[in-house]
Amino acid sequence: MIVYKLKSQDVDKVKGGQFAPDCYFNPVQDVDGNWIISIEELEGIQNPDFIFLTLKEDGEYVNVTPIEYKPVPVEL
Amino acid sequence: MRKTLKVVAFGGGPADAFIKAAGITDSTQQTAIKTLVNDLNGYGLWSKMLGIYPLVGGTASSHSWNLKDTTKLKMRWVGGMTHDSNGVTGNGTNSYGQPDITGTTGINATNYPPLTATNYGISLYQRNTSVEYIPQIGFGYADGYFLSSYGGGTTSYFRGISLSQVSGTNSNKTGLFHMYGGSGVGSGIVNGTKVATGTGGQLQNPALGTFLWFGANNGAGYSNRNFAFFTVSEYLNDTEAANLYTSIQKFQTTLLRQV
Repeated sequence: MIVYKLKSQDVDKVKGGQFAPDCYFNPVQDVDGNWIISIEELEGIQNPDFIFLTLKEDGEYVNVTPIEYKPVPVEL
Repeated sequence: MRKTLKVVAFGGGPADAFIKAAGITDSTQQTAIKTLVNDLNGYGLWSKMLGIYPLVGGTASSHSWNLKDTTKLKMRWVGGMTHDSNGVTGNGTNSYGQPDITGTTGINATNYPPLTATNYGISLYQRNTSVEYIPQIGFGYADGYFLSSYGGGTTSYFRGISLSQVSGTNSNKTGLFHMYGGSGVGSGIVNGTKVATGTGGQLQNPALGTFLWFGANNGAGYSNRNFAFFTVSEYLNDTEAANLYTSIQKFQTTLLRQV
């Protein structure tokens, strides 16, 4: 599964931010410590404050990096 | 002067408020909502409900409204939840729903009496299954959770906070999962049938504390399943829990999304 790695300087801005009506970002860390958001969040952005995350140059995202999701193992 | 007697079903007030807030224009959905309110009232359940999330309308906004009271506990959708006519589906990565308690210290006896640790009921309607090892509802405390099955097994777990849980064999992986805590007892009900129960400390401290996490385990694990109803209520006895299932299953059947 592809997720989108945030730049370190954007993490705090994105955390808890409202990207669309009734919808809020939830950046989480993968097993390597990268802060990532999901494709559903990225493609659902309506709030102008976060449009910068969707910017592309030459078809590539400028402010996020697509990476394979490597979750942190969860134990109950 | 000719007088006209106008009969207004109970479902009119709260149902109309919800329909307006959620922007529900489909007549079948409108009828289903009004019937649901009437049924819950007829079974004596309406007054015990705190949060009713029918997840109807197909959008994040329409799914966020609380049918019981559109001025309270609006659902916030966090992370990458997908919304459609079947409700909400988690992405297994970072998605969950959480009643908005902004401005309060949580869903508890102080803010929402008479809820207490020994007077609560929580439920979800799950439409599909997947092999996952994390609970489908977290209760805000580290060890409070509800788990319909672990790794695709045939046991369901209903856990209050720390140390103890009740569990029982359950072959039903879909439908309405309800757990409640009363004085000295806590139980898990699946599609109206009790599958687990226990006394002592079990299930008596559910967290109705800071947050409820629908579709996730307190930020430590996220479900990828499809959910079509959530509720938060006072304690329901076994009969009431069965009637809650009857009401919700009728609602889902009308919407052609029953399992």
